[in-house]
Amino acid sequence: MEKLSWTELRKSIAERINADEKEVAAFMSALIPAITKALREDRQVRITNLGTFKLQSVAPRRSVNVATGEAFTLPGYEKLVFAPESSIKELLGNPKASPIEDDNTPLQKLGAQADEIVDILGDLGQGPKATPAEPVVEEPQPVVEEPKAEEPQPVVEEPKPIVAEPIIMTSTKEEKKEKKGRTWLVVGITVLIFALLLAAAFLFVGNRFISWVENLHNKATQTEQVEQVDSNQVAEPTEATDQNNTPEVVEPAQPTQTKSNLPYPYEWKEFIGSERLSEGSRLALLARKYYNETDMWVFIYEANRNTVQHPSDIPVGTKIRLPKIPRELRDLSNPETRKLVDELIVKYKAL
Amino acid sequence: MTKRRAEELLSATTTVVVENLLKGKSVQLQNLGSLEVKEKSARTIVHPRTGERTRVPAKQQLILRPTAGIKELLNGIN
Repeated sequence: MEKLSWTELRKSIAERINADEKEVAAFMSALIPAITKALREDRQVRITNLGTFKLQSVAPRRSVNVATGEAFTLPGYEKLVFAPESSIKELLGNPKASPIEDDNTPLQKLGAQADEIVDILGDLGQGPKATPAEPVVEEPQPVVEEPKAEEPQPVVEEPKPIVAEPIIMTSTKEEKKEKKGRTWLVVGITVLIFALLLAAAFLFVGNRFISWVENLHNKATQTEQVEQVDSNQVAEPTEATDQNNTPEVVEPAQPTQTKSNLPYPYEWKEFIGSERLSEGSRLALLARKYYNETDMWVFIYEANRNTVQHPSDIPVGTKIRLPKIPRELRDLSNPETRKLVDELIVKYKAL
Repeated sequence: MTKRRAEELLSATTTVVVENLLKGKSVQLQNLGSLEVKEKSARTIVHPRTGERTRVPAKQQLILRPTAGIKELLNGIN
């Protein structure tokens, strides 16, 4: 494609408005840095009658080394994207999408598909078009025969059903498709409801079970004090329920135990540096810049609580100290860390 | 440079850029990328539920090809 270089552009602009080329040069050399500066401050740059330049966040994602099969995380980054103004789209004179005239006959649908396949094969450059087309044409034939075989009967009597039948045929096909989709949907929903009910029942029964056991235990001790004869009978269930009881108490305790593995709450004493907040910047951008992870802003905020009142309302020029974040708190692939950070995000956003 | 002059220059820039794009040229914006009109060929889309087929006609799109260095510049590396 023919290019218009930066210098050519400058020349044409100068000619256009009879301006001194030096002036245009000064303007243009200021324009691009102004755009990039605004973009870095997380702002969109809209140029009237042209379009908008903006940044799009690409989230970090997991990938696999093709050679070794080793899993690794590709870091996230900001991508520069451009969205043209609608006036430009009109200038390019693009026609609108239109539905294909479709009279619902299966023959035509298959024909269109065959054409497409021929086109695709043609694009791939696989030999003459006729040879790949043959097997494609053969395929639809048996399918087409089905409606045809049913057709002859009404053909003799009334001409109208000929048109009606294929429509019904296709509609039933569509209905079948829809039915299939529906049954899957229904099955999915029932399974979901069932699972929810089960979970609710478990919670409910579990709680009641525990309280029931406690009651029994109390009663047992009471009865033991009063009557010695009954204690044998009551003692058995309490023993049994005690066994059931202990694992149930342990289960919810486990996450709290593992949670304490994270060094949190953390005392932010060490710092890797500091930065004065520039116009348009915010903690999330600093987090991305220094920790390669947007969500780390919660820890930056925690470390700067004495100077920063509200995480999303920080005056420009505020000195932000960048804490040294322990590895455990940076590792968001760890579900516990993820959970903690998510909780903190919700907490601090609600401030 | 006055604000008004800058506006004049900016609108002149856009006109020249758009004119050249319509001529089929790609316009290079230094350090940012190049703008160009890209031909998109016609394609057929199928509605996944109804099976309705729609032909999307061939069209032209204005696209930006970012320069190699812009990613580093915008991601705060360097």
